[in-house]
Parts: sequence; structure tokens; C-alpha cells
Amino acid sequence: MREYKLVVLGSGGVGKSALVCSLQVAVQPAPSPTHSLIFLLQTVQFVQSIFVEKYDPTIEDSYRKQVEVDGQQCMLEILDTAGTEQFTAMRDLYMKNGQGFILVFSITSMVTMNDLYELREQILRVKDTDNVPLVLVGNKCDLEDERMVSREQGMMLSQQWGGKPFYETSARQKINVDEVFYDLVRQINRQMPARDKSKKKFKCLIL
Amino acid sequence: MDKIMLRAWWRKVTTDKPQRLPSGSHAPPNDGSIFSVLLETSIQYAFVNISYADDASGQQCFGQIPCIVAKCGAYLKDHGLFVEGIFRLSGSARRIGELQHLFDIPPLYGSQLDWQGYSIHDAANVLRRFLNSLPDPVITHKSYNDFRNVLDNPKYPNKEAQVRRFQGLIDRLPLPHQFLLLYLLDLLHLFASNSEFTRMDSANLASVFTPGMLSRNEMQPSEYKHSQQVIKFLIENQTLFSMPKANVTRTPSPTSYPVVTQRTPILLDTSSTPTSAMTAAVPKSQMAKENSRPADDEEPKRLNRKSDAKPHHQLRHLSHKRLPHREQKEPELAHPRPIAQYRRSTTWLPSSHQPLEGVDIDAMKAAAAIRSGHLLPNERRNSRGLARSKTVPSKRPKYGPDDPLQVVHVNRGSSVRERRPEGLPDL
Repeated sequence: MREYKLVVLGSGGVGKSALVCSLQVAVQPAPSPTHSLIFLLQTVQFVQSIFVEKYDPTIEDSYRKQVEVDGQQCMLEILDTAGTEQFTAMRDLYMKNGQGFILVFSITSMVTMNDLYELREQILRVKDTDNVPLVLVGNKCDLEDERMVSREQGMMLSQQWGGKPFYETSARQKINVDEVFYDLVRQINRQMPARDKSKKKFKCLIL
Repeated sequence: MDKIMLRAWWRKVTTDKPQRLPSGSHAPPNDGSIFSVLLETSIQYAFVNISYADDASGQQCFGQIPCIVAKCGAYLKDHGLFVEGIFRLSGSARRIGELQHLFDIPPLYGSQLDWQGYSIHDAANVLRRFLNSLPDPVITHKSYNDFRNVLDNPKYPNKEAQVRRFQGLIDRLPLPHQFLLLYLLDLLHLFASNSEFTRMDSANLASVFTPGMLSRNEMQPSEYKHSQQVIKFLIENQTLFSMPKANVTRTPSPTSYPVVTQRTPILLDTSSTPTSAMTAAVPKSQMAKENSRPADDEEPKRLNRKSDAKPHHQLRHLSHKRLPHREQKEPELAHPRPIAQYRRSTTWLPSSHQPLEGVDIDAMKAAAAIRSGHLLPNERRNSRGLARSKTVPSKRPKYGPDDPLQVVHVNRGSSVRERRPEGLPDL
């Protein structure tokens, strides 16, 4: 099964963890006491479709989830990062390791969108390429009353970035969450098609 | 050509390393910036005096914190106490950059900034960015392991022992770091006690502030989480730590650092009730805690005191007098003024600066404090007058070069001696 290293980035409080958890609901996260508690909560949340409000800033969490995209089983390794400006040193490292990036802003705050320019620049710098699998996400789209960033502005930004896909999501109501991750997996597949492992092995034997 | 390049290179190499000043000199040793410069260097040219009074001796002590911290701290205390996600949400990257530039350039280092056009999140972010940029964090690399080895250590089985150990460690930090640490802990404690509104409890604040306070290079997330626990402990027990004693009674120059060596010798006086002088300097949030000690006619009194606990009045008052003796203040503060009078006295604030001023906030806050039940961790009361240091939010609209004093108060009920008996070796 192919593994995909996905990194979720964005400023503090835009709902990165909520987004990951929203995808994550049926899956057991890394085993630690607090997490298993969260897992229980999340299962409940899935069943009853209640959004559990937590407010602790993430330091760094990673999750694994198996999904099926276009009839193919994929193992997603999702790195949920700290939003607040604190791990600038570590960013380089996970940008280097990540294959696909989810850049999240909140539609209720313009500055969170502006923060993404710099993050993208950094990704391109670290990856040393102009074309990195990337999805732009405007989260909290259920908060229509508090909207500060229009859908058009999001579209425009994604066009500026070379026609990268843009989704408006709601982690709370689980709108478009799966699509974001699937889209990213497809981009990675397009850009780096899986190599046939047995063939490669055979070549090695000849050598 | 080569010569020029070589010279430029040499200048770069030499200025990148923050150098210590020869004592007595006030000139910036490098290009005079404060970001990414050692605190002990930058404090010499970009500082704000804080004063804190020891009630027992009546002595006023001085310390210095970086200008940017004082400016942001005062602004945040004034306007950020009810902002959800304060310190977590991001401000505008462009404006934060501007602020960073403003605070970074001599000779004013942003001391005249009036915050027009900047949001509260910009202030919170630039403060954190400054702390994160320190080459040696607030708790220095040298003390990194010591601070992390207190909690969960069988050598320090209970909270009192832990607090004593931490105090010992704090005493060993370089003096500018001590002042900065205690100032920050006080600030964070104030915000944590308001988490009803900010949703930033001590754990959340610790998580956000740990990189600038207790970290080393290339920390792993698991390691980071332990540091977070330490900072959380320090914030929650902030009231138990005491400020260093500075044995100067005049406005000090930065060079007075070396003479400051011992802690305030506060006379043991547990028999007396908390005085008004003490409450005067305690931030709003602590007021409610103070009040919930006696059980008699709690509610109205608490509300009353809460609303008259506008510490900045006293601060202003104090910093004018320059000698905040308890004896001086007691008569007028012993009888709480009518609320209206207090409110009227806030009018010296620029009108743009008081979105939170007024009846609603006081009432809201008091009600919330009562409702949430986090009025008083009773343990503090039971711990019999451990030393407390308090900073008071400053309502000064701006700091001039002559009057940048924020009052920090060491409570008179506190006792260093009690906490650290004569025979006990310094930890």
C-alpha cells in the first residue's frame, strides 16, 4: 500500500486539527492516554454528529488513516502542525519530508489567508520547485455570518498559485473534508506515479 | 574591491555576535536592535523600568524589562483580557513586521507607539516573536535541564518543595531574565484567570509561550510537551514566586544591575490582614481571589471590590508619588470609593483606548468569575502568605523617556524568610 505524507499548515486557530479530526473520526490515532480519550470523544462525535469544541493549540500530532481513492488503498500519514509562529526551525524539516500540503485559512479572518503566502513561499523554497501538490482550504464555511474572505478571493489566490484546487470546508459539519484529502492524494499520484516495486526489484537482481 | 568585501564580511561577523558592554557604557554594542539579540545585551539600551515595592520595608525596588515587553504587556492587559484566542490567533503579518521594525530601532524602541492602526493580536504576536527570537530564552539554556527536572522528581515531593526549588532556580537566572520571567508569568497568570473569556487557560498559554521561555534548539514535540508542563506550573503558581530585591531606591540606571544581589527581606507578618495597599497592586483577577477568603457577606463585597479594582489608578497614583508606602495609601484605600468615582477617574485615558471600560465589563467579569468558580484556588490561602509578586497593568497611554514605570508589588503578607528558613541552604 502506498503511503502519502501530508502536512497541514496554517495560522493559529483556523481549524487545522479540527479538519484532520473530522477526517479522522473513524480511525484510531497514535496511542497515548490523552489521545485515546480524544478518540472516544471523536467516535461519539461521529455517531451523534456533534462537533466537540476543544481549544488547545496543537504542538504537533501525526495521524494515520487508510482511505480508498479511485479504487486504490492508500495510507495517509497526516502531520498536524502548530499554527502559532513557534516552530519555524522545525518547519523546514517537515516541509522537506512532506509530499503534499494542505494550506488552511479561516474564512472568518483575512489575516489567516495572508499568512499562507509566506508558508507557500517557504514550501517552494524547501522543495526547490514551483509545482508542489497543494490544496488551499478555507475552513469554517459554516460560519457564514462571520465571513470575511469571499469565495472569490479564495479562488483568486488558488489561481495565482497556478490553478491549485480550492475548497471551502467545514470541519464542524464535515463539509468537503474528505474531498480535500482525496484531491491531494490524486495530485501526488499524478505528479509522482507509483513505481512498480516488483519490476524494480527485478532490475536490481540483474545488476 | 576585495578589501571592501572583506571589511563588510568582518563587520557582519562581528556584529552578529552580541557583545557585552564594558560596564558604565550605555551605547548599543551592536547595531542596537533587540530582536535576535541576547536579552542581557538589549536590556542595556531598550529597557523600561518597573518598580515594585516591599510593603514591610517600604522600600521601592526597581527592575528593568525590555521596552517591547512593557509596551505590549500594558496594551494587552488593557485591551486583551476579553479577546478570545489571545496569543493564539495571528495578527496581520505585515503589521507585525512593521511593529517588529518599530520596536527594533533606536533610540525610542517603540516607546512612543500609540497602537493606532494595530490590532491586539498584532501586539500579542510581536511580543511572542520577540521572545522566540531571543538567542537565549527567558529561562536560559544553562538552566534548561534544571527547570525540567523539578516536576515528577521524587526529591521534590509536594508543591511547596517544587515551588521552593523553582524559586531557587529563578534566583540563579541572570537578573534581566528574572525580571522578564516574573513579569511574563504575572501577565500570563492574569490572562489565564480570565480564560472564561479568552479560552486560553494556563495550559494553552504555556503551549504558546514555551518556545520563547523554556526551549532549546531542535526540540522534539515530546520534549516540548514536558516544557509546557513546567511553564504551566509556573503560571499557575506564579503568585508564590517573589521578585528579586533590588537595593536601590532611586530610578536606577541599567548599570545598577551588579549591585542587586539579594532578595527582599520581608518581615514576617502573617497576623495582619491583607492590606489595601496590597490589594491595590493586585491585578483585577486576583482581587476576586483575595476576597473569597472570608466567608461573610461574600457576594456584594466581591462585586464591589472587583469593580473598584482598577489597578491602573493606583498604579498611576503610585508612579506619580514614586514612593508607594503602605502607610500613605492606606487611609484612602481602606474605604473603597464608590464605583462611579472610580469609573470617572478613568477619563484620562484617550477615548480610543477604552473599548472595555465601563460597567458592563466589571459586572461581566465579576459574574463570570463567580460563575466559573475559578475565583480561588484555596490552596494559596492555605499556604500562609508565601511571597507574591504582582505587576499592575499600566494605563499610561505612552511611555516617555522619564516616566516608564510599571509598578510591581511584593505583598506584605508574603515572606521570603518563611519560605526559606535561615538554616535551609539555597537551592
